[in-house]
Amino acid sequence: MRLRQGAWSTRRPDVVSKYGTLLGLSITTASSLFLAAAERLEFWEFVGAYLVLAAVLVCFALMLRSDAWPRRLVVLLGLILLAELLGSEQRDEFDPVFLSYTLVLSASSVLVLSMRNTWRSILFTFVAFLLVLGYAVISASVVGVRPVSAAILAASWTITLAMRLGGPRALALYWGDFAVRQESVAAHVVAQNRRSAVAWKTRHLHDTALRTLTVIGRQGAGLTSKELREMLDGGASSRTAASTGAAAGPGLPLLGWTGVDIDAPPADAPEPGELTVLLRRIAENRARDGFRVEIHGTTGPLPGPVQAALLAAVDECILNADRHAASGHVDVLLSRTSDHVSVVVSDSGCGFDPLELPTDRLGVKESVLARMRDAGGRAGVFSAPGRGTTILLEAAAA
Amino acid sequence: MTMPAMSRSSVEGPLFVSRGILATACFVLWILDFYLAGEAVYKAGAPPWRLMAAGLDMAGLIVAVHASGAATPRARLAGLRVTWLALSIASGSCAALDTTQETGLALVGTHALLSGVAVLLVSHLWNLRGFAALTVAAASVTTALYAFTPEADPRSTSNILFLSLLPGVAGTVSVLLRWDAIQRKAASGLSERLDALTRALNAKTSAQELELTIAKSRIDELFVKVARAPSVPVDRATATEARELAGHVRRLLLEEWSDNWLAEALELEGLAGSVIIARPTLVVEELPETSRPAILAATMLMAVGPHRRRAAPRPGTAHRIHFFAEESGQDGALLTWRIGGVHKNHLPPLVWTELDSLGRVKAHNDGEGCSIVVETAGRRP
Repeated sequence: MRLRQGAWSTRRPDVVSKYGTLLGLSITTASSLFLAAAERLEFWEFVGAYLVLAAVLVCFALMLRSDAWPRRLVVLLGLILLAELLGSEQRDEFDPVFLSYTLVLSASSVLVLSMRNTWRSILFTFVAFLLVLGYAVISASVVGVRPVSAAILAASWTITLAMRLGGPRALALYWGDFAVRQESVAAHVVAQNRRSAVAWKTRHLHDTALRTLTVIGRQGAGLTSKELREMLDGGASSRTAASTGAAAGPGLPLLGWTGVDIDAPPADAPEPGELTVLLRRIAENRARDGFRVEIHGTTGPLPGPVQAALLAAVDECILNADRHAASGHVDVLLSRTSDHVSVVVSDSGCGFDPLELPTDRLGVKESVLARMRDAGGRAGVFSAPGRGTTILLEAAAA
Repeated sequence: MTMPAMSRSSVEGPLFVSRGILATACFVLWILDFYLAGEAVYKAGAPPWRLMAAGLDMAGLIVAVHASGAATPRARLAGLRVTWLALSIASGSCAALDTTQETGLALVGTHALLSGVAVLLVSHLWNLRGFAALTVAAASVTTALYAFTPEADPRSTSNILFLSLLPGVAGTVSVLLRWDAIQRKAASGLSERLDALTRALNAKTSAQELELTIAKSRIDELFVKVARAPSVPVDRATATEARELAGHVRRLLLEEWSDNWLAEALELEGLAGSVIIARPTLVVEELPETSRPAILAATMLMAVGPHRRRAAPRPGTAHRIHFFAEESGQDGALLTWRIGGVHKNHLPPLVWTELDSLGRVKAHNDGEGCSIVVETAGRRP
């Protein structure tokens, strides 16, 4: 049989109400102890006061689970009784423990935090306020002192009313803002991961399939049949890529292209060896009749990701110079300080306006600029039509 | 999947849930303080020190309200806190000069409580350590000033100390409980959100993936065809097909590609329509990884926060955000948010916490909204 839940257990307190209950419990306990220590109590007063205190504290504790009206009423009456038992001599504001007496009464103000948005709840809270205020005024007038405790009581109830009215909305906004911040963290993580994956996929496609497609699209211009065969067989391009640690080129059976899962995470493990040596190998592979690459300077050992990024970026620069610059000669200048490496790739070819680079040209944008950025470095393109091109690649060397 | 560090404990930000409630509490206590002081002076004939103390309390209250304003420049906060403490000590001294039999403990207690609650307001934008230190300092000053008066009684003194510390202890407990709840929510909420975003992203990009896979198999076929007879020049039809395929693959890649990380993240959250990132976006891309979460969080809060606060755009203006990043000096960057139709005070307090973690913030309102400029320390590397 399903039991009907009564008023004692059905009213679940919200977080504001719970916080108020904890506050009331603390204030009541501390103030009562102040009061009890300040006055020599008769035996019956002592027993009575502590029994009432225990009942109030139990009701406060029960209010953490359910702040039903009977519990709130017991708390209210208990606090008034406690103030009367412990503070009968202390309601004068010149008494040394007058403040504790007032605090016990003011602890009743936390009941406002259990008020709901219904007329019955509002009426109950208002009547409770009148009850405790009436007690404070009457008890002061009976003793013949100013009802200052009533003024303090009114102030404390006003403050808790402000908390009741503004607290839930303020709390909702606070949590809402926090949730937005959490969402921003998640969005940043997902966006970064997606960009990394797309960037790797784009670079990989550009450095493999798109390069070969471009060569075929130009009917193999600039290559001999043998070089085209080597390119497709995994010859020149693959050897270059393999020797430099860059992404493998397309070849028959096209393992460099077809054998790669484009959704796999990037693997930027560089070929062991000094950058200068590896670049000389690239230069040899890219050189042909009418096109020459010269490497100057040295860099010494570099961090793996930096070396891999520099190799691939320089390779792309050399390829671009070969295809577009029409100069026949590229200089690669390497230099290094204690914590910094820079590579300058320059040609004296036809040049171009970097600002007018078509958006679908992925070579400079992705394979050079973004690649260097992802490796923690940076790249700058300096060029103008008819004035050649210089590309500066920089990164931390240690 | 990599995740950024979640700890933001070093960031100074709103400690308490509502500045408005704290200001209301202070104001109510000040009215009580003023009423009791006035009554003591005019009815009991006490010297006017109490009224002067109430005046100083009001000045302190104004300083405290200013110090808790989310848009108040952080560089001024330390000065405001010191000013408040000086005013509090001055007020306490005036009150102590007048602690006689005529005034009573109600006034002393109200003053102690007002001082204790005002600490919450002054420390609203500070960290917990600073708040605790200021609470102890203010309580010590209030209690000590009373303890040295001729009317002081040990029991009253302990009551005053209790009252002075009560708001601070209650505030500290509330902050710790909330931080604990935040940690718990963060642990569960973030992984759920990551899963949801990843699922949404996968659903959105699956069509593009399919197209790319189809293009990949076409490229395979083309390469195989050319490799069977690799003679130069390649025949025109094959070259045309290769060019078309290259163009198609480029288009597919560009569709997937966004030119900056901020636009990508905002699009994921469905906010791409309300935030416009000015071009060129090169500087946006150069912003360091460490500052990106704060920039994104601030931008999202600017976009979402005013709606949740029902801060309707001003007539004739739309709530739209323009973001612009430009170089500043050798390695610095100047970040500008132009927020249409929203007063800077209607932005969520967390916006300022995030912006302050980036650098020096300047904000101003105008007829059509507000502008925020942040000067950050560096671009990468």
